[in-house]
Amino acid sequence: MMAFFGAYESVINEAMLLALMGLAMWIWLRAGLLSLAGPGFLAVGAYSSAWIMDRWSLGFFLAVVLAAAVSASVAVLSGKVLLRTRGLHFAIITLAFSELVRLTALNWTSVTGGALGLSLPRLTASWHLLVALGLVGGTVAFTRKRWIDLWVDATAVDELMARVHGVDASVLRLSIYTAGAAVFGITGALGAHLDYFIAPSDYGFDELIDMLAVVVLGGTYHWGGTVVAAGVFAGFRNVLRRTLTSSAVDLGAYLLVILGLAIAIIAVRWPGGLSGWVKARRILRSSDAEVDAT
Amino acid sequence: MFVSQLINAVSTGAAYALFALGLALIFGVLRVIQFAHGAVLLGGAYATWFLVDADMPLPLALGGAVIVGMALSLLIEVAVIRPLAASDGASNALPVAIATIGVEIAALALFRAVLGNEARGLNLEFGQATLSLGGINMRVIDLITILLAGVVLLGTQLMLDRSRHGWAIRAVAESPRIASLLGIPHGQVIRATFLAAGAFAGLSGALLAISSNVASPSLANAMLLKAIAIIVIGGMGSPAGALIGAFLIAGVETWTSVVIGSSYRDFAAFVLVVVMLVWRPSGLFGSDESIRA
Repeated sequence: MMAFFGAYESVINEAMLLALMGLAMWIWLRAGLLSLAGPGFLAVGAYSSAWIMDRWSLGFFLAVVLAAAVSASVAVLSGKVLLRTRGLHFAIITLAFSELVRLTALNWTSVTGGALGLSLPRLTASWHLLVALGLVGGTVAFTRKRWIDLWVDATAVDELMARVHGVDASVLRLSIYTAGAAVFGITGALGAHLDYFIAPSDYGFDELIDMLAVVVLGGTYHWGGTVVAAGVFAGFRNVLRRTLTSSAVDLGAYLLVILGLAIAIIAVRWPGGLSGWVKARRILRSSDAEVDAT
Repeated sequence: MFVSQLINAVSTGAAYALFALGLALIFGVLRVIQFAHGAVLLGGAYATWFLVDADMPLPLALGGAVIVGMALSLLIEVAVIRPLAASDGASNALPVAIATIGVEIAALALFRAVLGNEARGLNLEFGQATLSLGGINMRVIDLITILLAGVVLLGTQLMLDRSRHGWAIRAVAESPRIASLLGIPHGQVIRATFLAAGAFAGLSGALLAISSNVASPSLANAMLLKAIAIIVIGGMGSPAGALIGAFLIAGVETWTSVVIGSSYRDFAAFVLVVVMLVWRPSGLFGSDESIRA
């Protein structure tokens, strides 16, 4: 077990980071929010944790908690404005927001080091990621089929009807948006202190690929699909990376080509993702059983 | 001096408008954003670089860029848009967004993998050739850009207003279901729209490459984000809006880099997007209908 972990430590860390990002995206998407602000909130978490570690001697744990709080506060403030839009408009406005965060990081040199980036100590251990994943996954699992989950469902199905039944849809949406942003904040803080280095270019348009891949592969029916998808995606990416770079010609540059196409193919061919596939199988099986019974 | 700078800014705006027009037309008929449109533009830019490098004459290089743009756009329509189209003709905006983002990232990575990460110089003296009219120096390529973009934009608007093809496009934009009940070949209209959008993107990429003398992978996402900003400002499905939005973005960019500083240039477009989407989600020229996208 330990030998296995030692050999694949970096892949496992990558999978856990991806799972955290996927869960944050899943929280948003479940409420019908296709937010492309993920890279932006990752950056907020990463830079605020780096700043806190640099200025105050609070310890890493508090720095991560505060980074999540900063990310959540940014979400509350920006959400009041961004959440006035719906659907595709929301996707565009969050993309613009994310780019604004990146440009701020690029220009606010005194705090972020500008384009050259920041060197950070490695403080994140694998168990930190596991604890974070456990907490987030546990919270999501705990709320499943409880009131907030049902409110989200009701609002997504028929907002007017949900409002009539006393669901404050705007507050609900803002809360969901903030929750996802806080998870991205934690992920950004932990990821930043795992990689030794952060720069604004780590939080751009191309970085959307990780989040979209995990959440598209996992599907939105069940959060578990996202976690499984993160593992599958991290494993697949590493095998692919190893294969592409070990051949006589270095093909590492083609990694993103394959991953991007994979996302497109999954989104076109299996729009429900893994959890949607499992659910469809289950429905098919139960309808088969009914047919057999009659 | 001021006038030649103005011409330069107008030419930049014209190239932006040309590119954003395709995105606006696609949004008009399908109510989706084609996020892979940046890759189509890049195809045009690299086709120009390749043909210029092979000592082809300029009109041929422009034509090649147009053909490459059309081919790439058609490929996206066939491989992504068509399979995702719902049975009632209305497309599902979110899967299309995710799938085309995937295609954009993949295509960009492919360009980088094959042609390298660094910008390719065009070595075209023509790009910097100037012309003096009444004591005002201007670059020939700027004039060509303004002329071509003007013809295309005017032609598109006229076609939409006056021709049967234009009516078909507007009917599909209004309601795909009713359009097909009236016997308008819905699929063909969408395919034609993608071909036109691809041609405009290829041409825009070629003109931008010639004007800046380089073809660079960073052009794709930068232009994609700008074009999204432009159609948001102009009203998503409106060709006239694309023109106004493009000049607004180009103007604000120029103003920001002169008054505040060039590192703040890119802020302007995104701040404008946020302001517009909150204040007037249907854009300057959009109908209220487009809010429900």
